[in-house]
Amino acid sequence: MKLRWPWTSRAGGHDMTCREAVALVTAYLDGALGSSDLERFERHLEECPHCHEHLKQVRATILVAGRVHPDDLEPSVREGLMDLYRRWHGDDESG
Amino acid sequence: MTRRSTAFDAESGGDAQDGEAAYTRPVPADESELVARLRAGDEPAFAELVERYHPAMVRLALTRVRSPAVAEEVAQDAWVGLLRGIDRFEGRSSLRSWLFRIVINRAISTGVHERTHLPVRDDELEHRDGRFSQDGWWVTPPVHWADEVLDRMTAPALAARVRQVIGELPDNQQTVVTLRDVDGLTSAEVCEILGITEGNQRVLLHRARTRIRAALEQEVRP
Repeated sequence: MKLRWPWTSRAGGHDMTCREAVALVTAYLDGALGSSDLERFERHLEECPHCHEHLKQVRATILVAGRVHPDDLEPSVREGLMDLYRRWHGDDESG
Repeated sequence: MTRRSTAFDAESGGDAQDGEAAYTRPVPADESELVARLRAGDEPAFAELVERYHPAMVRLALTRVRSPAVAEEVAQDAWVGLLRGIDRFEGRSSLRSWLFRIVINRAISTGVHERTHLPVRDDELEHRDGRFSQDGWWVTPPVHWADEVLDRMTAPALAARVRQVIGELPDNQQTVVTLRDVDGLTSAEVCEILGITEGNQRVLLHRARTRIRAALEQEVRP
């Protein structure tokens, strides 16, 4: 069975498939698409609500990944590293 | 011995750069001043760097070693490496890239001895999950959940699921996505730290994000 979505038969049509668009998402977000791919990608996105949602989901994924770890240092770890620093400089000076 | 240190192999793609990298945070600009202070033996400069980079260094090490304690040791070793090498640091890369490169190299050599299990097979999710027809159109279009995730961004369940799925990724993907998305480094920095091409980096990042996205989808739309 062949599935086609109605908007694929619009005038002008797609020249990029959804599979291709999904494969290019990472390059797109890195600003690494060449001008012709970029144009095809953006045109596809304007016409395809699914790929549009998919891109939003990838962006949401990246944002969530950036928040999964607290960036604070445990005081004991900080102290341990400062001790290491002082020992290093102590050793250094004593030869 | 398995050669994990050269395992950053993925098909390369085009290496175009430029354009906006919308989801990366900028490299700290005041590094040269910090380097000068470090060389002069300024303790607060060291403390500032520790504050800034240590948690990310431990996370990076954890993509290669299993135990948090070992990851701490790896990061600590890297700090010793910094103290030992700071006089020779030439500033051709950022201090952060240099430091993170020390971490990954040590983590890889430690991980080779520490690990006993076989790496997970690196399948490409998008080619086996049947989301697309042969013609390349969606068979099962994505259900809408992006807005919901943005609303619930700080929900502990989401964070826990994402941490878990990142931990289950193949090593290379885990390292790249941790540096890029968890810690916000640029693609150029990541390539420099790992010694891989932009194309390789992008393939690994793409696979990792694909899996994390799928896990989030299951979490919000079970």
